[in-house]
Amino acid sequence: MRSANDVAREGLTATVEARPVLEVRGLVRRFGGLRALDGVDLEVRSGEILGIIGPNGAGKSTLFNVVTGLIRPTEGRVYFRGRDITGLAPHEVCRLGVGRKFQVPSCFSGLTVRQNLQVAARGRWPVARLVRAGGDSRERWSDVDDLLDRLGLASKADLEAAALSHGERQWLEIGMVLVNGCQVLLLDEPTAGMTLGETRRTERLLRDLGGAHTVAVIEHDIRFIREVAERVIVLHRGRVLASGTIDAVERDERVRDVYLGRGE
Amino acid sequence: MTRRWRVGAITAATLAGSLAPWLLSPFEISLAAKAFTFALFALGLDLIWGLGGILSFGQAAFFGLGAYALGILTRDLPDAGILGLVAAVGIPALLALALGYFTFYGRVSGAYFAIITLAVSLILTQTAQTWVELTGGHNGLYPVPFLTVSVPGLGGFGFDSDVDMYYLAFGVLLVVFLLLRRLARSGFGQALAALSEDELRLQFLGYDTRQLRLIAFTLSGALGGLAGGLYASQVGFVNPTVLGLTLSTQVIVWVALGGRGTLVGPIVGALVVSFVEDYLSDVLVNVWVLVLGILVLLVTLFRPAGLLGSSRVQRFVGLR
Amino acid sequence: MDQVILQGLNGLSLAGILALVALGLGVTFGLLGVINLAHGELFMLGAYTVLVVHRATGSVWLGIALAPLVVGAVGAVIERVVVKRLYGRPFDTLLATWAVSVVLRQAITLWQGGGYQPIPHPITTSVPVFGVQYPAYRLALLGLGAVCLVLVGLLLYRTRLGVQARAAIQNREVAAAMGVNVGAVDTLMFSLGAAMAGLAGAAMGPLVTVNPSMGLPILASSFFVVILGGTGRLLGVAAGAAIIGGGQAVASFFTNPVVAQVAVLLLAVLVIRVAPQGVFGRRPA
Repeated sequence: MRSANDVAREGLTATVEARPVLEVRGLVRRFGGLRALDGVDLEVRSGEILGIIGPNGAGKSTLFNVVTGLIRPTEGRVYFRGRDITGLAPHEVCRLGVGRKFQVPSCFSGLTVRQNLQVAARGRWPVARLVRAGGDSRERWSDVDDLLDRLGLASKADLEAAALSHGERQWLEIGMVLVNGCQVLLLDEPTAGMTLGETRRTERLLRDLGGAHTVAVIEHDIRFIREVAERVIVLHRGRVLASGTIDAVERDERVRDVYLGRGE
Repeated sequence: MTRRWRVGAITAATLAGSLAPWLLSPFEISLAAKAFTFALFALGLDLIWGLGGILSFGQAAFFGLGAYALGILTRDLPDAGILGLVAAVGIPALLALALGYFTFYGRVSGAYFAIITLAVSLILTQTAQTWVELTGGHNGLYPVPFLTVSVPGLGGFGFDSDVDMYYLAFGVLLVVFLLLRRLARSGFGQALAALSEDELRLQFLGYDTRQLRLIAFTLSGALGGLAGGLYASQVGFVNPTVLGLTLSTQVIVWVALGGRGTLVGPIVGALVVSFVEDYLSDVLVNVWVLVLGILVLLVTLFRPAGLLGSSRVQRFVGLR
Repeated sequence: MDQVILQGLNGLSLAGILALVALGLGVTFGLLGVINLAHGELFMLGAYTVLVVHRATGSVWLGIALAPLVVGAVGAVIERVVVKRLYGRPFDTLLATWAVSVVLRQAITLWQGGGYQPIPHPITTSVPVFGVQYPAYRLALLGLGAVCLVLVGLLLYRTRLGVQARAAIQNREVAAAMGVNVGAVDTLMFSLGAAMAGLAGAAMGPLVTVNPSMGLPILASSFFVVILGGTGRLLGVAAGAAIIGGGQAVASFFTNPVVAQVAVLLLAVLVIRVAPQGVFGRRPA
């Protein structure tokens, strides 16, 4: 006989496991008269890769901006591992474990590729440790070296980031977010401007992350989303229009309307 | 190869600096000592401007505060050299800390920071001019004795000649240079370099950029104060010009011409410019200032990294 | 009582001059996002224009009339040669305009000497105001400030050029695509700001002795006017000028002028800290 208590405990354990890593509740963000986010609820579950799609102006980047603390929501809350992180500064959100890649690749173009990764790797260190960390040549950076290989940037490690191609800069920035050590990664259009080959490579990179990271990725490229995302959310006019597997979402009549422009 | 070259260059400079007093006249020795303290001051500005990417237009506030702190303390307590130096470093550092906290944490940044530092330097100048009992007003504080450091139980040592002051200034400059060089190559220095490029990106990597700036600015204030303290005991008097706009802009010129973001550049800039000025006659001074103005204008327009600051030169000399 | 009225009038006439200088600064800062550290020297150039013209022709009025043209032309050259290359680099702009200020000051020193030189008052009569005899010229300054405020307002809000200038600020690319010559608008606006500084310096010349460093204190004060009043609204500039000018006059009535200046500086620093957005408008540099 199982006691009611046991059942309750099991239920509790189950909810803890299914508990989303990142949770957004009733998020509203107004810019003047425009409601860029209009009551968004969503959750990102531990270890999953969530695709976020939607037409231009749907509020995708604004969502990331609010979650990472760049702008404050007008209403609503953001929770990370059950903790209310609404209104924290970007560096605090990052230090808790939410990393972000920008839409426009923004690595430090005056630093070398390796230095970019080093700066990213030390991002969450306390200052005292930063000061003690000596010259870059002597320090052991096995994870940076590994990453350089995985990104295919090993041969360019000591070039200034300004010398990289657009696709390489995108990879470098993805690498920076990875080496930064956050468990949750928010990627804003990681394949924008990439050639087909480069996009393929990025797909492999993301899939290799496996269950170790939790990823939410904004992308316009549906084919890419189909390759990497286990679950998809469609944003439209600041609201969640649909969610589910990519097939389910693509069959959804409302989503087709939005993408084909019939629902306007 | 380049590393050996660098170590060689630093060793050679150290040797040259140590042996120079045998070759120079007493007048030149005191000029050189003064130029070293200016170089120290320039390194302080370089820390916040060259590495940290924001320009302080009132850096003389720290220099002057250091000079007055040490001047007033050693005027009244001639043996309290150590206490004087601590105050000369600590008080300006505290001011920088307060000012930095006030601005960086208040989302006031960019060009307004330059204006605020300018205003603070003006306020301090006027205070020094009016608070005659403490500072001697326009006439200044006189005389500031030579620096005497004494440790209870161990006796004291007086830097009581121009040659002593020369070695003191040179030694401090060398030590600060080596420490800053280390700092610039540390994770902290790298973060500062990244900060001057893209602050937002750095925040999203977890860096508290306000804190980074605050530390850099506090250090820069402390260095300014140290330089000011040494200056006061070198020249033997302090008047309100050490707090003023002219000195603030002079140090900007040294760093701008020498090359911001490098460590050797500001030192060279300070040494060359202040030496040239000491040898100019009164008539030529106006022409010289005009020439400096034009030079700064040209450098800003065409060589923003300074005369020594192109990345090729930097890499060759190993400045960063 | 007479003292109070006198100080009040002094404050107002100072406010008139400050409003002119600050308006010029506000135009370059607010419209172009350029903090022009040479603005005080443009003010000084205006005064020297009067000095030189008066010496050559004997007329102060001709000097005052020519000053905005001369200084406006100098401003246009500065914008074309220096400022234009540095848009989007605020610290370099600061540094370069500071260098320009040094060059102007030294050039005038070498040409005219570094000493103090007087300009005769163009109006020497006094008029009774609230029972106090007050110099008419100082009252004229107040009027000049007010008239210029109105004229600039009309220029920016009622003319084609003003619309173009404001369009260029909102969005350079779109304005350029709509056929606005963005570069020319920048130059014109900078030149306009310079001309106002020059006019202020020319008008102020007869009240003070003219010297190459006369721009420094006026630059500091007018910065604080812009900081207080913001750059977006002309009325803000006027209000800021009244507060700073009046405040300095009132404070120096009660305490000594140095304390008054320190108080004003502290106030300005506090304002920057407390209300950077609200006071500066929506265009942080």
